[in-house]
Amino acid sequence: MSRRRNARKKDFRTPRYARRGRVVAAVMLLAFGALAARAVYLQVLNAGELQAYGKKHHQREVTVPAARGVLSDRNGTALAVSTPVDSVSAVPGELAQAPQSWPALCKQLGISRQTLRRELEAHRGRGFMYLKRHLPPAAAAPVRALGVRGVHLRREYRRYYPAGAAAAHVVGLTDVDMRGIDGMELALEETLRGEDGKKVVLLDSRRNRVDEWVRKGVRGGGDVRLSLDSRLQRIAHRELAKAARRHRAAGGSAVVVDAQSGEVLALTNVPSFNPNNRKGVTHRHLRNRAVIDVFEPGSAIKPFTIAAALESGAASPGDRVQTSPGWLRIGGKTLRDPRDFGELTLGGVVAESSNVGIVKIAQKLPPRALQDLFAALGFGAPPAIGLPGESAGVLPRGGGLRPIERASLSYGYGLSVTALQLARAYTAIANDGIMAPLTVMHRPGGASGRPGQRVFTAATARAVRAMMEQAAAAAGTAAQARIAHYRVAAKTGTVKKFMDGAYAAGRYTAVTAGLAPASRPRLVMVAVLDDPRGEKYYGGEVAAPVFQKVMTRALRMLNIPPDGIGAPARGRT
Amino acid sequence: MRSALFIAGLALALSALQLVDVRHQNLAAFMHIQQLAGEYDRLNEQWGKLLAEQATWTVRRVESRARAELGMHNPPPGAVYYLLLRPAASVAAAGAQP
Repeated sequence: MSRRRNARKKDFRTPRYARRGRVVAAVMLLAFGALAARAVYLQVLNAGELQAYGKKHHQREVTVPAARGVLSDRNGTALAVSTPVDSVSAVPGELAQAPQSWPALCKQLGISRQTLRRELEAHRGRGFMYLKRHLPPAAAAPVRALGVRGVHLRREYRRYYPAGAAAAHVVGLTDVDMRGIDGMELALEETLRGEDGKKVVLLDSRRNRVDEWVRKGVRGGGDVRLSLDSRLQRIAHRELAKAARRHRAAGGSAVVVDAQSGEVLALTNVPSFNPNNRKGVTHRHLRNRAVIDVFEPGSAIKPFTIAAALESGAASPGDRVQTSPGWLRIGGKTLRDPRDFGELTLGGVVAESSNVGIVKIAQKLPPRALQDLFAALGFGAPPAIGLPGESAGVLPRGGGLRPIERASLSYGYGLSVTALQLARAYTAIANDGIMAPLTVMHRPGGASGRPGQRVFTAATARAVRAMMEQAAAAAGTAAQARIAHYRVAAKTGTVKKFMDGAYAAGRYTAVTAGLAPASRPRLVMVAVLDDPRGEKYYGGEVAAPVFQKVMTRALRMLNIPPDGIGAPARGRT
Repeated sequence: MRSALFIAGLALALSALQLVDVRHQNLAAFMHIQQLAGEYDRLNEQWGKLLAEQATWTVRRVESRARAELGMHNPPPGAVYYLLLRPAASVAAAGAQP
């Protein structure tokens, strides 16, 4: 036994086996050495280049777009919603090398092969180009399924505006990259936008995502509720548009405001535009007239002149004014009433809209009283409700106005206002002397964000309201603003348009401003029609019916109880 | 010494297997999350559509269909009657609200 074992041991020690062993060891060492060298070459010497290659082909940093917040009205009805869409992009160099994939791709995208070739040529040498933007996800899915090399889909969002043209000016617009460019979309950009996230995705050789890690978390945009009421907005827009068509007006605005909270319930203009299809939309359509366009308010300012007179003690509600013979000379100019109204009460001056009467009242005022009240009512300063482009209007600030200028102010010439400013001023009459700060943001429970501002006493406000009720009586100038079963206080204005440096003959702005129910006002509305070229052009004939129709619906819709039951029924609807 | 080496070797082999398993699970979970993200997108898309649709119904369609298909209209002023439950004190607006 032991001999045999010894013999075997001996066998390994023979020189032949020993040499073989050394050769094997050397080969293995060499092989390992080669592997180690290769490893060092790849991992140390060549690392940068290879990592770059790996990153380029298997790692991609992608943006995770934040969904833009939803804009809705006071009842939660959507006004602007983002819907996801897919944009198809390409790496021009990669796509150019795969012409065999073009026909299928072009068919899916609905573009011609010539267009594709031209576009590829135009983007040669660049790393990115869009093939088609904003496809509905269902239409983009087949493109993804084609799996063409160098073609990528990117998730983006598109804005849809359910309220369409009616709310287009307030809601505003976003551009193709989802940045707000007008209206509340612009004003609330910070809140609505959110923040895009970033993540790195790892692709396998077949370009499937196999892993990802988040670089920066995505923060979705916040939702915002506006004070608007979509239904009222639509009714206001429809009635305004109808009136503008019927009276061949160049444009118009309507504003409905909650008298107590100052919330804007409806703000609409014509002409407007369809925000979901902006073809053929010009600056004329985009302009938010109620906020931007200024006009001389004319007779619609008279209630405030009366208020100034009552406040200063220059007149008291029971006073009478002699307007005969129906004209008055001031500083070499003659001021006329439509006819000789004789002796009028203050209410009669408002109801008949007598220029002579109002000027006679204003002449008793201290020199700056009217200007001061108008400034307190916010004329000459932007309403600061947050809409872009708010005009301040014009109010002469300095002292030393000539008598004719002071007289003009008293019946609404020599200052200019926006429809929104006029509505805000009227909230003071509605709200027993306290002017509500306007807002387009929803204030739940009617809680006002900023406190209102007292501009005159409650007694003055009530007296003026009663006079405006006379104007909206059957024989008043605002008779067409009357609403069955409700008490309405309203004032109309028919203002000569100032064009090219002079008051143009036969060109007017028709205005009606008012509130309801007069016993306990809840709503203030202003309707303006610019340059009606039809047969009728008086504020009481053109704008008052718009006021009446919209206000009727608004009172019913908001469940505001009637305060004029049993009052003589009125004929017109 | 030898048994320690053996245990270490076994542990190594086991952890290697586990690594493979975890990698696999990771991939499966990732695919699941991708699928869920797709689902989220799809639901989001649908939510947006539903919001828009709801808005269209409330603002436009209900009224126009009530007018066109059911022949409904706002009552003219003469057709609205108010019933006063307590004389002149509080006004109950019966039948007038839409």
